[in-house]
Formats: sequence, C-alpha cells, structure tokens
Amino acid sequence: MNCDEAFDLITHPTDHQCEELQWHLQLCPRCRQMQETLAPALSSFHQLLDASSEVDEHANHYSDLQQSTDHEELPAFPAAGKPFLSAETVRMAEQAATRLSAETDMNRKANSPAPLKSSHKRLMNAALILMAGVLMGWGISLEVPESSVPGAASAPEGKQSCVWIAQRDEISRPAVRMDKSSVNSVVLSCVACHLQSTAE
Amino acid sequence: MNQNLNDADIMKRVCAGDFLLFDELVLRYRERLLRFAWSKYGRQVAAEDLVQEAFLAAFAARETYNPTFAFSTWLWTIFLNLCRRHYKQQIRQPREMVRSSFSASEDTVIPEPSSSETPLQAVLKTEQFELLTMYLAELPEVQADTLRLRFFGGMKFTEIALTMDCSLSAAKIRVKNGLLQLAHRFSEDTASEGDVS
Repeated sequence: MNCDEAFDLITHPTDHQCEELQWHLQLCPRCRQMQETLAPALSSFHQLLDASSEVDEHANHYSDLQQSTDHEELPAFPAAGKPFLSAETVRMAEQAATRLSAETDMNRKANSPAPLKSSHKRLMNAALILMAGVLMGWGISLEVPESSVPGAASAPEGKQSCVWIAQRDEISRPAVRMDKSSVNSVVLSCVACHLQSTAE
Repeated sequence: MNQNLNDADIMKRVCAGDFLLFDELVLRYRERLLRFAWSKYGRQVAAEDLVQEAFLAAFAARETYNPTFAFSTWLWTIFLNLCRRHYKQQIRQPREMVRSSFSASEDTVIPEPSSSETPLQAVLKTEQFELLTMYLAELPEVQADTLRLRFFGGMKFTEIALTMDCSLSAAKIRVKNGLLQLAHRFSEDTASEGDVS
C-alpha cells in the first residue's frame, strides 16, 4: 500500500480501521502524522456515520409502517400548485448525461492502448515511405550522367558556362595541369552558378 | 431478486418499460442523498424535496442515460446541480445557522435517536451534527460539497471527480484541505471550551 492509497482509506467513510491501513500507519510516520492532524474532523464524520447506520437499521425495520402513515400526512405535490419537476431540471439531467458520456468516452480512449491493427498500419506506412525513399535515391543516382554536375547542368542559357566541367575535361588529359588563375576561375564560376540557383 | 441487479441493468429495464424497478434505485441512493442535503441545508423538508426532484429528473431523462457511465455518478451530478441552484436561491434569502443543543427549532435537524441510546447520547449527537454542519458551512462551497460527497455520499474519489467535473487530484486536495480546516476549527473549539472551564 502506498501513501495515496492510505489517504483513500484514512478518509474512507467505513473502511478507516482496516488492518492494511493500520500496518501502513505503523510503518509510515508521514501518514500517521496526517491522520493525527485530521483526527478531530475525521472522528466527527465517522461517529455520525456509525450512529446514522444504527439509525438506518432501526428505521428500515419500521419503514413499512412509517410509509403508510407518511402518505396520509404529506401531500403528493407541493402546496404552491406548480409542478414538482421543472423542464429546466430535466434539461439539467440530460446535459449531465451528455457530459458524462463524453468524458467516459474520452477516458476510455486515453486509458486503452492503441489497437494492434492501427499500430501495424503505422509500421507498414513507415516501411513503405522508407522503401520509396531508398528507391528514389537509387533512381536519381542512376539517372545522373557521369559528365554532369548537379546545379551546373541546370544553369540557364546566356549565363556563364560551367568552367568546372570544362576544366575537368582538360585535367583528364595528361598533358594539362591546373594553374592558380584557372582554379580561381573555377571557383568564381561555381559561386556565380550555385548562388544563382540557391537564390532561385 | 432486484438487489442482484446492478444499476445499469435496472436502468435498461426501466427504459424498456419496467418503471416500478426504479424504486430499487431510490432505495439504494435515497439515504445518502438525504444525508448530504441535511448536512448542507439543515432542513429536512428542503432536503427531501431536493432528493425527490433529483430522482424525478433522472426518471424523466432516463432515455439519455448511457450505461458507459455509472448511474450513481449521474444521479449525484443532477443532485449537486439542484443543490447549487437551491443554494443560490438561499443566498438571496440568507438564513442564520444557530448552534443550540437543547432548543431545536424547526430548521435544525435532529438525527433520529436509535433505540439503544440514552437521551444524553442523543443530545450529544445532535450537538455534534449541528457543529459539523456549521463548520462545513464556513468552508468554500466546493470544498464542503467534496467532503459531503466523500463522507455522507460514500463516494470514491474517481466518482467525486466525475461528479464535480474536476481532476482526481483536485478532488483529493479538496478533501484534504477541507478536513484540515475542519480539524483546525474543532481543535479551536475544544481549546476555547477548555479555557472557559
């Protein structure tokens, strides 16, 4: 038993003296202190409830006899002449039923684990998306020609042509070597081309 | 035989036309509702009227009852709303609560003495009930109602939370704080009695 359950029992109208609670109180000084602090109020409630249960037993014993005399003395409807139950009260009851239905449904959904089917569905979707991603990536890598470089190929007409491609072709020839000025021109061409494409 | 049926089954049969079975629900809850109302208003007639109205409302709106929630929670919700409405009306015409152990007026409640108790015990019990009623009236209404639901209604904290439309922890905190304040008032009272003697 934890302290929360102990509090339930301490404030229980009838089970406040059960053995389980007494065990907990012996072991837990915090709960014991709480019970001692609340004792004046608790004992007042408990004494009244114990007394009224005795009265109930007594009253139930003679309930049949009392009912017959009560009916003779009390009128069935209030003397004011208005109906006892108003439409407003019935509406109140209907609203309460609607609210409780909604709350119970919400609690149920919150407490119950997600159904197996939906979790399976989610997993399948994730796997499909992953597979599609892999296939798309593979397809793109197949489609890209060896000579093209992403970004450079899409450079619009009339702009500076991609020097990197031209340089690469030249470098592939054994006799040609890149000097500093040609490297700078490659960088400038790349920057011009790629900045343009990112801006777009 | 009807005692074996649960509330939801009874309501199903009542909705199907077995209206007399509703008596069983009245028998099950009447005492607790009365105890609640007596402690709140201190007037037996007003308490009985409210209890009767709550049962009539539940019967009239029986078609809207859904077995997914407990009948007790529904009935208590109706009853609590009725009590609040009555309380607002009562505030417009305030009534002074007088603590008197021997001269019981028409407005104060005297618990029926059981056959075994002596007149002195009966008087002490009446005094205790009046004192508790008075201290409960000093608490904020929501806090006092939570205490009444817990002790006079015999409800679980989950049921109280649903009935009062609050969280479970809020219901527990209300009970705890209410009891702390009541205990403090009872201790004060005992101390002042000690000083007088």
